[in-house]
This record gives sequence, structure tokens and C-alpha cells, in this order.
Amino acid sequence: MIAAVIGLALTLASIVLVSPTQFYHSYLLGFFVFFGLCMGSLGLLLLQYLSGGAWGVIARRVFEAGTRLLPFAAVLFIPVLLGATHIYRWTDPAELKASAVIADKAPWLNLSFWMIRAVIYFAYWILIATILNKYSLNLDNQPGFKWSRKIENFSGGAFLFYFITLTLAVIDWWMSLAPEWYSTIYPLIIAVGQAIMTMAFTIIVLVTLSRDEPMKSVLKPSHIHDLGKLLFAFNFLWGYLMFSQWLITYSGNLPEEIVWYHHRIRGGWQYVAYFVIILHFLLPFAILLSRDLKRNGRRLILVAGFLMMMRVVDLYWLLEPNWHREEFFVSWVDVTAPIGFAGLFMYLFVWQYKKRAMIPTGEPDLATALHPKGAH
Amino acid sequence: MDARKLDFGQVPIIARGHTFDTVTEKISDIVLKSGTPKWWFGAFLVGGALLTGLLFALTVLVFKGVGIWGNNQPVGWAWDITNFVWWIGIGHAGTLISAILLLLKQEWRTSISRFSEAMTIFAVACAGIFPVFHTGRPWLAYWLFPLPNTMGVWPQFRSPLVWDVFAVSTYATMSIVFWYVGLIPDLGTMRDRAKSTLVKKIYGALSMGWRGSTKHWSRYETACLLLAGLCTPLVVSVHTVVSFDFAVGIIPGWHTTIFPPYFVAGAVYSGFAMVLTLAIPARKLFHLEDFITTRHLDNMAKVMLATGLIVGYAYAFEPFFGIVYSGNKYERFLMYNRMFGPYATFYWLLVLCNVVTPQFLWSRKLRSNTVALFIIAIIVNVGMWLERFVIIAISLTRDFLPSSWGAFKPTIFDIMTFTGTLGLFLTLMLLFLRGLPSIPMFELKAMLHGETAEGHDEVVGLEAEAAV
Amino acid sequence: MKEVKTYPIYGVMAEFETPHALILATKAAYGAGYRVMDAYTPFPIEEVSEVIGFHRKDNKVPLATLIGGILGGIGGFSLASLASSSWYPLNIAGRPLIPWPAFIPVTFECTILLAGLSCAFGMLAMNGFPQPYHPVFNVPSFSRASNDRFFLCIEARDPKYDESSVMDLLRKSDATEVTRVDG
Repeated sequence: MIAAVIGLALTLASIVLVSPTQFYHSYLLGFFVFFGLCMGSLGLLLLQYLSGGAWGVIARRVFEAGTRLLPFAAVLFIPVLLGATHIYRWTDPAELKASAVIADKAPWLNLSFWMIRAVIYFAYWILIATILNKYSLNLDNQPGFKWSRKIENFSGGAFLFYFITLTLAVIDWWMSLAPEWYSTIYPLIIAVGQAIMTMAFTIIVLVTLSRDEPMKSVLKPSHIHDLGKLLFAFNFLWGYLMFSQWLITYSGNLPEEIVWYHHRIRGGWQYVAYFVIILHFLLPFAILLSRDLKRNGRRLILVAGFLMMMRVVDLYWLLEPNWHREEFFVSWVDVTAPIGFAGLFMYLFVWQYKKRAMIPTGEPDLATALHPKGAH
Repeated sequence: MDARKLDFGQVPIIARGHTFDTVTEKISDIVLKSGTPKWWFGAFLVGGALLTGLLFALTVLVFKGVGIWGNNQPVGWAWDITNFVWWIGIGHAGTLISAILLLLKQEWRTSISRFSEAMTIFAVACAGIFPVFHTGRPWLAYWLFPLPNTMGVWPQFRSPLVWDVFAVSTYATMSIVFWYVGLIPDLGTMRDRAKSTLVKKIYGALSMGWRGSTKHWSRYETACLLLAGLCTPLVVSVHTVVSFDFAVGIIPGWHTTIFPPYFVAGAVYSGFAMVLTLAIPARKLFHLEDFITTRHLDNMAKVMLATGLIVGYAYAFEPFFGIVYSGNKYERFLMYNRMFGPYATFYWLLVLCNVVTPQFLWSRKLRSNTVALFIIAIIVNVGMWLERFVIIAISLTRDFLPSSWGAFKPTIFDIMTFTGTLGLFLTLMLLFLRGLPSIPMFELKAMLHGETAEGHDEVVGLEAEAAV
Repeated sequence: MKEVKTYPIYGVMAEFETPHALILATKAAYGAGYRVMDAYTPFPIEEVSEVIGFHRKDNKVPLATLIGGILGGIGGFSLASLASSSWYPLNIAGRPLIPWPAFIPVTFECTILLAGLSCAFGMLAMNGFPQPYHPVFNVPSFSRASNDRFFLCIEARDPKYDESSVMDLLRKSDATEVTRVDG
């Protein structure tokens, strides 16, 4: 809480202390942390309904609480709308004149349509989050198959559109920061990044809670193992997607594409890239290979916390070079903003999480899920 | 537990009433009992005939050169590479079922795993034929490997084609190893049950003297898990590298970053379609309904639906990027050419097969209808072939310079080679079904054991529930 | 019967109908101080190898796999780098001679290949395969070890081995049959 207040206050102060532009840039970074946790929660919530499995039953309430923060994310997005001209180059008419490619995209990339789309995305996400939360509450009140089946059916279609809207949102909010550039795998990279962050967050929450009852007797090493495996899998997937994009762009070496990397592997940015490769991918990969570590909650949260931090570094590497293409740049606001937003998320999350039982008691699969062996 | 299964219309993985002995008997008898069914000979005849066509087509090719195929500038890659990618993709479901689902503790995979692994190996064998003969001088195919030679020339390691050689040959090797390791205990069972001395000797030699020692089992299980763990990233890497063959080039329609995951999803999609195409008749003909239950078919249909939607997602965003968001006229023209060009029929057919058809799988009723499922699976197989053809050949017909545009038309040899590989696949599959236990007996028995042992564990679960 | 030089008698074997009976008997034998023994089952049962004293750390298959993987990875990358930088350097559009991203696929495949081969062949070698002859096959009912019966064999190499006391011990268990195994 204190972190949230100090972080956000300092970030706000930067409008005056540094510049409004810097404020908006850092604000976007912080917002993406908050937003990523909400969207990752929504995605994983849908995914666990579809895939089944013990991990989903155990972590469901964490995801649910995360999705209930989506309205806050919508409110926090308003400053991004207000500051769009500070953030997005394509809002500048001079850029449109200078670049035929950007002008070509104007039917899609123009402020009014862009804002309308943002409203639609949030409306859809909040809608499905509300429905899922409502159904889940119904399941608590009327245990059995009626509601669990209904949720499953609902999740299938909802997930499809969740992914389509998220893709468009990533194009609008992330990709259009470099308006000449595009990469079809990029939305997937961001989505998996959000899943990593949420998974890491979930592990931290559950393991911390397991120090006391009732989580103490619920959370078995096999559950921690499952969550650890998922964290490992998402991180591996992320690395795979990042590498695929890099290798295709690198080998193709087309001027309109490779330039995006040029801004990220020169002028000091390359060290950030190495940092990300080694500490976000290789090191967690090697550590999480160990079976014993994945079963040891106390050590696993260290890895999870570290990965959350690395997510921010990676986001920074993706975002910041859009505005500082030639040389590495970091402002103190870029540090306070993510801390502030993460703190805010944590605070709101705790408030929401406490509202419901920690385990969905009406789930028909509950007994199997809580089984120490960890069921299928 | 049971209430849930009934409610979901789900059937257990193994039909009730089976013991260790009946499992062994039912599965090993398919192989060991004399009397090959009549349909088997019929199918073998068809497979053999097509295979003969393949041998003929390839012989002509070796004497005359690749000119007998329809490939010509600018369409250098056409049916051959389409078939290659199609077959490799089909192989992927086998690895997915045997390796990835093993890691995910999906027990239903057990009864179809051996069968799908065999499918993988045969599919890779079929796939391998195309690039090797496409080189034009297949007797020099060993040049693809990094072998020291008097000329001092080495393969170009920056080229995705060399990566492909490594990926596909690793994949073939690992698939065979994984499959064989998985077979060893069952080969021991076959040895112990065989009546004739010769058959006993053959299975005995193949089983290497397996005797079920618990220390051996312990190492064996570890090895299987490790191999599964290795095969999982491997299978992803193989289709990724296949996609690099295209994506690393800069042709519009080839050069796009989504290709790696999209190809992998497409591979799984077509692979599951093929598993269904094979499993539905096989379970009927060999009376294996007890082990390949509707539950299996339902789960496979679900995987197909999921991967079909991923593929559909890529189809939806291809035009979005191409037309709306690329700002690149070549990309835009490519989409226009695909949708309204001379080969537009193929594009729309592929959308129909791959995106519209799987939507029927949302229905639980259709998923449990074997005939409907079989038809959908066939359509998806066709659709996935069309997809590769559209991506590979049609993108090449019209790229940057209108003066170098061209067209592609298959020749009789293209067709014979393709149908010939279908024949090869069918023949190998039939030989496998008759010669080796097509369902892992020891794994089924372990599952049966697990089910009976679960009884006393139930109490622990209830205690945990009470603690909440 | 063939003769094995040092131990004409291989040991004593008991046959059980259920895994449970086998586990109990194995526990009893282990408790009585026997160490050189082996159980034979138609499918893997983790508990049996635990009670027989074969633990996870005795299993060297993961180690072999790891070594193979590391060698494969180093080998793959070195092969690609040496071939394109010193054995046959080619300058293509000024690209670097060792473009590491382009070598990752080959490195990766070599890692998997060598790890996989060392895993599979390592497992076979550690199990002593191929092994065409083994005394346990001399027990006629042993053919059901691959079907639906569970066996325990206490071997003559055990320092505490004494045929009659072993026989007694096993007969006291739930064994359906106890036989001497000729070497």
C-alpha cells in the first residue's frame, strides 16, 4: 500500500518535475503492468475452465479477483487516452505527411476510431469478467454440474473473442508505438508475457497464503509443482515466440522490419536485450528445470518474484526505444510507475480476493483437485 | 466421480470388467492369432497398388529429372513441398499424444499413443521422400549432411533448409527411438505369449531380453519421461523450422512472424484429424471399442476444435495485417490474389474445410457420432493440404514483378507421387497393426492397477475437503 | 539347463497374484536383511522399487541424458560456427560469419538428438540389454511375469543367502508358488 501511494505520487509529480511527456511514457509502462495482470487473470481463468485440472481449481479465485479489477484498468486507461498525442507518433499530422506507410494506415490508426475501439475492448472484457464471476458465485451457491457445465460452455466462445480483442488491443496500444512496423506474432508475445506475470503473481499469492490455514492444508506440493510447471511452460513459450520473431526478422533483414530491432540492439539497448535473454529466459529456464525447486514453494516464489520484475524490464525494452531510439534512456519515473501500479494492483487485489472463499467450494471436481497426488 | 462421468456423457478410458489378463489377451491376440481378416488384404491391395505407383513415378524421376513434375519457374516449390509439410504435420499429432499428453498426465492418451507414434514414423518417412527426390539427384542427398569431403565444402548453416535437414532427421531418429523404447516391454509380452518358436525368437530378439525387473522399470520409466520431455520441444521445433523455410524468405505470403506457432497449431490440427481418420475404422475393425472409447474420440475432437480455432485466428488476422495494417502493397496484393486471383477457389475451399467445418465440433452430439467425426476429420485433412498448397505454391505464382508471374499445374507424376505416399503410409500402417501390439498393454495395466489402488486414497481427498 | 560358472543356483523365486502381496513380501525380505533381490512385474510399480531399495538417486539415466544434451549443444554450435567461419567461410551480403541466431536451430536439434540417444541407449546399457539369456526365464511360470503375475527373486549372491531359510520366508508370505531358480 505504501509502495502504491509513494510510487503513484512520485509518478504524478513527474508531470511537473520532469515533463508531461515523460509522465505519459512511464504511465503507459505502469499501466501495462496493471493491465497485464488483469488480462492475464482473465485469460488464465478462461483457460483453466477449458482445460480443467487441479491447478485451475486451486488458482481460480486468484484469477477471479484479478478479473474484477478490470473496471479499474479501464479507469486507469483514461490518462493514456488523454496523453495519446504524447505517446503515439501516428497522432501527429506531420508524421502522416512524412511517411506514406503511416498515412496508409490512417483509416485504422486515427484517434477517434482508436478510442472507440478501446471502449469496445474494455466493455467486452468487463462483460465476460462479470459473467464469469457471477456464474462462479452461482456455482458456490448451487454446487454441481449445472453451473460448472454452463461456465465451461461459456468459456469456449468467450476465450476466442478474448483473444481476438486482445490481439487488436496489442496492435493498438503496443504495436502502433512504432507505426511503420508490424509483426504478426507480436500480440501473442504480449499475451504470453501477461500469462507469465499472472502465473508468477498467483504463485506468490498462493504460497504466501499457505503459511496459514486454510490454504496450508489445501496447497500440496503437487499443486505447487503444477503451478511451477506452468510458469516454466509459459516462460519457455515466451522465449520461443520472442526468438521466432527475432530470427525471422533478422534473417529476412527487410529495412522496414529490422529497424525495429535496430532501435533495440544499439546505443546501449543491446545490454538490456542481453539482460532479458539471460535473466528472463535462460536463468529461470535452467532453475525451473529442477523438479525439487518446483515443489518447494518458498524457493519458487523467489523465482516468481524475479520473473515479475523481469517482465517489467522486458516491457521497458519493448516500449522505451520507441521514444529513445538512438540511446539507452531511463528516468526515475520509469521505476516509480511500475512499482506504484503493482502496489495499487496488490492493494485492490487483496480487497477483492477477501470477498470470496479461497477455494471454489461448489466445484464438482474439488475432491479430485485437492487430492494430494494432483489429479488429471 | 462416476456421477460426473455420466453427467458429461463421458465413458471411462477402459471399459469396465477388464483384468490384466484380458487386456493382454485382447491386444496381443490381434497379432498372434492366425487368420488375417479379409478387409486387411483388401486394404493391403489398395495400399500396395498405390505404392507401386510411387515406385514407378520415382523411378521415372530418377531417370528423367524433376522436370516430370509441374514445378517450374516461378513456382519452384509446389506439390512436393506441400506434401512434405502436410506429412510432417500429420506426424506431429503422434508425438503430441505420446509425449506431451504423457507429461500432462492425460491418461486417456495411453490407448492411442503407440498407434499414433507409429503414424508419426510412417508420416515422416512419407514426408522425407519429397525433399530428397526434389533435389533431383537423390543419390547425392548425403551432401545435405555436414560430412568432411575432399572438396572442403560445408553446408550453409545460415540456411533454413539446412536447419530443416537437422530438424527432420533428428525428429525421425527420436521418434523411432521413443517408439521402440515404448515397445520393449510389450515385445517381451509377445515373446512370452507366442506359440511358434520362430515368432518367439523374433519377438525375443526385439525385446532384448526384457524381464520386467523392477530396477529396469525404474530406469525405463525415467527414460520414457525424459524422452517425452525432449520430444515435446522437439516436435515444436520441427514445425517451427519447417515454417522458417518459408518465413525466412522474403516472398509476400511467406515472410510473416506468426508462422512458427501457426504452423505448429496447423500440424497438430491435421495430425489429430489423421489420428481420427485411422482410429475410427481401426477400433471398429479390430473391435477395440473397449480401449479406444468415445471418450478418446471426444477428447481428440476437442483438440481438433481448439487447434482449428487457432488456425482460424491466423486466417482472420492474415488479411487484417495484409490489407489494413501492413501499409505494404505487395502484401495487400497477395491477399487480393489469394481471395480473388486465379486460384481463389482453393482459398475459399480451404476456409470452408478448415474454419467452417470444425465449428460442428462444438456440438457434443456430433463429437460422439463416429461417422460425423470421421467425415469432419477427412475434410480437415483435405483442408490442411489445401492450406499448405495455398501458402507455398500460390504465393509463388505472383510475387513482386508482374513480368515474372506464372502459374502451376500438376502433372500425372505429381499426383502419382502423392497418392503413392498415401499408399506407402497405408501399407506400413497395416503391417504395423498386424505385426506389433498396437496398444501399449503395460501402460493400460498400470492404469487398471492405479484405478483399483485409488480406493483407499479417496479418504485422504475427503479429509482435505473437510479442512476447507 | 545351462551352467553359470560361479552360482549354479541363481536364487529362489516366489510368485504372487497381486502387487500388494508382492510389496508385503518384499518388505518382509528387506526387513529380514536380504539386499540382492529383484522383483518382476508386468508394469512399473513405483512402490516396489522403493521397498526393494532402489531409490531415485540410484537412477543414473537423467545424468546420462544431461551429459548427452550438453555435449550435443556444444557440438552443434561448434559445428555450425567452425563450418561457416573457418572451414568454409562465405561472405554473404556482409553478414557476420558467425550469426548466432541462425545457428540456434541446429544447436537445439543436436542437443535434443544427443540427449535423447544417450537417454535411450544409456537406459538400455544400464539395464544390461540386450541380454539374450537370463536364469529367471528358467522358471516355467515366469512367462506370466509379462502378463498378470508378480514375482520376487532373492538371489544366491546375497551374503545372507541360505536356500532353506529364504524358502521359508517366502512361503510365509502370500506367494502362490515358491521355486528354486537354476543358474
